[in-house]
Amino acid sequence: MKKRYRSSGSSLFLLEIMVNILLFSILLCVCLQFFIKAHNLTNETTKLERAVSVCANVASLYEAGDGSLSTLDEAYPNSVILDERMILFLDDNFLSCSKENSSYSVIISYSNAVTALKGVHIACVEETNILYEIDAMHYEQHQISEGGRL
Amino acid sequence: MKNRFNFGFSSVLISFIMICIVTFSALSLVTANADYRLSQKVANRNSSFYAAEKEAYAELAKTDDTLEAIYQEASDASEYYEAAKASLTTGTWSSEEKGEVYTWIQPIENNQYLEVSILVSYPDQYTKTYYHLLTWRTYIEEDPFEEQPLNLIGSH
Repeated sequence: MKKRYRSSGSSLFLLEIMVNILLFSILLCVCLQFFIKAHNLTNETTKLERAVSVCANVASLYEAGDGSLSTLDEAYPNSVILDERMILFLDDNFLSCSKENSSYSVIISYSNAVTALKGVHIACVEETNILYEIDAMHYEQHQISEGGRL
Repeated sequence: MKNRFNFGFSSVLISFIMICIVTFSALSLVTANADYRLSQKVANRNSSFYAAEKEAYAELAKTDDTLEAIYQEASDASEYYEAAKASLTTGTWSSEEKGEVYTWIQPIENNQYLEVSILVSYPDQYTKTYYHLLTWRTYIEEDPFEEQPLNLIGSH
């Protein structure tokens, strides 16, 4: 009788452990998805914040400069200037780097370069995905000629 | 007695661990979501600011063009200022110690605005430009209904 009672208790205990492990596994699967989603969201947040910061920096530099892309070239020495376009290469920490080590890039292209009001389109890109984009302007104010009237 | 003690203990332990894991996972997800929303708000606000700046620069260019055209037609400074006041009506004019100031406001978003002020000047051989930029600032217009104090019990 005593042995039968012990056997019953052990099997109940084993059953309890098995049910607990099962519930724990199910819950862990659900919670793990939550953790993964939170991790991905945090990564997205970091990328967006840094992309906004980089684009704002480039826009400020452009607006404070003389309306040409050469001002940016001094600040970002690893950049590449094509016809009407400039590409800045950034590493994982959104710092300027060479093209080989780059994870992100900032593409600056003239949207209006004909008049005194020069505009550029600034886009921070991860491969083909645009993280953030803004337009910045630079205005060269009119001056009278040396003789007086134009 | 020993068996009775063991029985149920693992359930309590697992329940406690499960509550902890659920709480932490929910908190981390809520925090990450809140951070993401905040960063999106910042990004949108930044975009709105640069869009407002673009409009303000366009207005500045238009104003400069108008002043240049007026300068070509005007015979003297007083005529130049009168014609400028008559032509530039989008913003507001004010007379200050430095001279005639033209101000316009560009909305950014909600109750945020970009204020631009220029000192309109009659160009000569020293000051060759038609204006000098005085103000380029953002400000928040406070909502008068935002703070409505309530009389609490016992307060006078």
